[in-house]
Amino acid sequence: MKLKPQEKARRSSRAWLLGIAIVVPVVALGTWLLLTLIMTPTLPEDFPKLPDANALSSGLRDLLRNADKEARKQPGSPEVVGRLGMAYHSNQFFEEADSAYKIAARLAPDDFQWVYCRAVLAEESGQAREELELLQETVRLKPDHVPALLKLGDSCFKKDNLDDAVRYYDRAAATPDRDARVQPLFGLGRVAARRQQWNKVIEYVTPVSTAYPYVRPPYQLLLEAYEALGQADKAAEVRETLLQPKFTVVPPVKDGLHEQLIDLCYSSTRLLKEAGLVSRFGYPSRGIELGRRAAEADPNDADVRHFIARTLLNYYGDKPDAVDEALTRLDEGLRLRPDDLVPLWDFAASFFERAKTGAAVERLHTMLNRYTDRPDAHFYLGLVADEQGRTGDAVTEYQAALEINPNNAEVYNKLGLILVTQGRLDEGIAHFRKSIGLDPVYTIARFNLGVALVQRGNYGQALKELGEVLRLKPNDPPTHLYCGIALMESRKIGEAINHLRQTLRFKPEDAQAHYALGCALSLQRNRVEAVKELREAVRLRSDYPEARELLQKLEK
Amino acid sequence: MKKESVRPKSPGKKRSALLPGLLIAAVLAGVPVLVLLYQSYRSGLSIGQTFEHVFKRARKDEAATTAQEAVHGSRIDFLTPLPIGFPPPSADSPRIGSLEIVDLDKDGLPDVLVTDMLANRVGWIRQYPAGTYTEKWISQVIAAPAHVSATDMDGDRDLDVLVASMGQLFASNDKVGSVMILENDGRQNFTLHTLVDRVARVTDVRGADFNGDGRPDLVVGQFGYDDGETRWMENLGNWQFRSRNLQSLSGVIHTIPDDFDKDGDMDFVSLVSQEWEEIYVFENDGRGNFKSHLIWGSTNEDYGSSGMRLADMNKDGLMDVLFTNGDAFDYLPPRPRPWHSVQWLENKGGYKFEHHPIGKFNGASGAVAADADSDGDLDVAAVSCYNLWERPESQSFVWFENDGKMGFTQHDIAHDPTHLISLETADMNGDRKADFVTVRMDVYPPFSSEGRVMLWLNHWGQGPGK
Repeated sequence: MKLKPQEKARRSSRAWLLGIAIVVPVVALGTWLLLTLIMTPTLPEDFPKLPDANALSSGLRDLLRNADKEARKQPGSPEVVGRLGMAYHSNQFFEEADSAYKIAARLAPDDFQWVYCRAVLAEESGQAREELELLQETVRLKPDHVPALLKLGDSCFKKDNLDDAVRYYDRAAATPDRDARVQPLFGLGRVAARRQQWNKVIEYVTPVSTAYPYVRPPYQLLLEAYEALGQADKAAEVRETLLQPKFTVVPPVKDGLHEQLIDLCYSSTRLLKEAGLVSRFGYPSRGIELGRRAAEADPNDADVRHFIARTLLNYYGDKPDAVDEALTRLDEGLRLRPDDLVPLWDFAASFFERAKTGAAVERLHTMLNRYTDRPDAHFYLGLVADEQGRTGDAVTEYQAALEINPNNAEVYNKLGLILVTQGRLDEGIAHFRKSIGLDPVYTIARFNLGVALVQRGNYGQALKELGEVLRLKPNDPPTHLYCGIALMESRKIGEAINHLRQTLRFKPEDAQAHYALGCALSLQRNRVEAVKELREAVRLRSDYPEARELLQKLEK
Repeated sequence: MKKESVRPKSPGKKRSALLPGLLIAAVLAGVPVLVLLYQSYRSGLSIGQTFEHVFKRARKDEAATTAQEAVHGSRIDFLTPLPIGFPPPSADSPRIGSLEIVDLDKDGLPDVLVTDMLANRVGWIRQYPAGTYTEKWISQVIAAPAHVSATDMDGDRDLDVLVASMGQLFASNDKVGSVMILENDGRQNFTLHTLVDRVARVTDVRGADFNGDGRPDLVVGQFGYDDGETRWMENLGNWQFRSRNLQSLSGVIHTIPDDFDKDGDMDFVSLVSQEWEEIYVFENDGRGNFKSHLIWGSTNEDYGSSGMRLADMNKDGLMDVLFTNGDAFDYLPPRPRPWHSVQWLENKGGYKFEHHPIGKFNGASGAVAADADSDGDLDVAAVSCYNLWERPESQSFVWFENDGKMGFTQHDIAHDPTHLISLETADMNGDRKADFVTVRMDVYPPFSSEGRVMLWLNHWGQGPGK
């Protein structure tokens, strides 16, 4: 039977369609299988190799293994591979991080974040040229990326390429985030200072000093500007402010990458660095938390233990629990690095700056007793004995220290203090003099000498010694206080008031300074102000009979 | 009934036969391409890499690593170490701050001046007779002497000794620094003049005539801590000086005079570390008025600038800047960082400088330029203070060999002594070869007492040393 042509054509078309319907999936499947066969595993050649897991801490091992596993499962996901890069980066596997970031950047060529990650990595690896190129690429992809703009601004500034620096700083300062405007303004202030445009320095830097009142560099720029403009009164005001303790670094702009890297970090080095920074910027509890993480990350790192111990002692030295932990951490550090006793000596030297419980003092004593064969130990054992009221033992230890080093100025100072406490003022003064004879810039002994001379009634000599201390430490509140007392006793009331006000500038909660100022003001017949100061003294220290007595007298 | 008509085959009918063919071709080619693209996307490979991967069947190790960057050079032995000066301290580890090689007594034999921050004195290691080195103190106690250099300050044709005193080695805001001169009576007896004291910790002082009056003035670097300073001090004669502040940045390590712009007067360069990490050249107008040029800086606030020297590295007649970054005290422990290195700034004229890396070097603390292999170009020798000293492969002394085109290859010289803070170079034994002197400063464990001051005699071309 012969088919009609139309039927033939229809059947032919159907056969084609059927053929296509069969061929398409077969080809697709075949290609898929072939490619799967050829490309298995489908990882880029530069996919980073997982480092030797045995050498890593368990936390880091888990972090890297999990990140690596995820990235191997989804090697086409820039987020997943990029996160692997961050895990490596934060833990200082720089080559592995670079590989992962490069893959992520290839997968998402328009995403700025992987380029920026590479820029930061290049900075940390000392690849300055690559860093610059990558930062430029970052701001090409994200023109308002403040951290990258700032780094570019800084980079131009540091090559004296001031026009470009201004362009980058201006772009960064245009951010709607008010908090992020401060750093670019500081950059603009530095540029203006280089160009000697002093009014602009003031315009740019004043908001920075307002935002960060405890940061030093903006005030230094302001001082330079006011001096250059001949505004002596404002310069003097800034100079006064500069006498107060200040941080030396303008805090960095908030950077999401930095925070992610810290979150992923098991490197004691990076964590400890961050811990130190945040402590300096006024967040010691965060610093200690990071220090504890660092201790977990590297159980053999003695420096981490010493950092925690010191930070606890410095910031929470009046809290028994904190002191207890500090002693434990110190002990751990000493066990980890038994040959290095410097942290123990430093710790012991500042241990008694604030009152400690008897148990804490005894713990330190026990720790020091382990090192009685070390020449340095005598001095610190003397400190402990002194604190525990074992004066005889303290003197014995100090004398033993002097036998080893007869030129130890600190020991003479301590012996002098004991003698003064025993009422043997002249002998004490002789010891202080011996101490500063050995070390003329040892301000503690010179201060003690000044105080002993005040007690002796030798105000002229006391003022000379205390004045010398102020030359070395112009913002030392106790020295200002005793200068004030000596001047008051010498009936130089105006000068005394100046010194006492300086004391309160640096230490407004000092009840003794308020009382002394109250006395000086009453001698000046300034009853109203005197009462105000005496009330403050009594408020700060309720059991202050001298202050109460004078207050009552004046209030009558 | 409809009459069947036989129509001629139209071009359209022809097209309908072609279409499935094209479709099949498209499917045969397109589907694999689509799958390839998908695989490429999924794997993160570029299209080119994917094709290359498929067609070359490159199935190498899935986790091939990138080559580890070589941090060590090949070992080379052309220096013979020899301890000189006082024997190492018995109880403490050495703390030498700096050194200068100078023929202090002008007897034709180079000597070595050192600042000992443990003894708090300046030591003169006299070479006399040739090859015999004897140290003696030439100063009374000076608190933490950080830098020493020799200049004839009073025009009596002998060398006086300039000393920068920090007052205190470790971080302090106290005004405990001072600038001192040990006046030489011509017989190497010295009288101390304190020119400035009670200032922020002083780290460098050098002599040069900045105002053209024929008297050497001083340029002073004050590290301080929060308050640093760079100042020049005009010599008024009779040990009187007038001091002028030029910059108020903390962290100044070195201030070194030279005529950078070849205009006949002395400019100077300063290296500012701390949070700044910048290098400035102060251009002199010939009368002691200075204009600062910021010639380089790192945006890495932990860069750790550590040492600087001047040398015409490429012999183009302009003075270049050789410097190191490897101070590691921004972190604890002070250990090597990936960015620690040795580098130079090429003076391109007009106060333009171009940065060139020389090589990575953990804890790099000082570098000098010298033609150690006598091939006519300047090589670089560098020392390290902060390295992984518990590992024997960590180097305290390396040599970067110049290939003549300013390409450098690192060679390892020594692991011991460790903690080397500085070095200088000169021909110490008159054999026309560059020898080296290194000094050691232990401020972080592991402590040891060896290698306080070491002379490294160059025996290049003479076989291995003894």
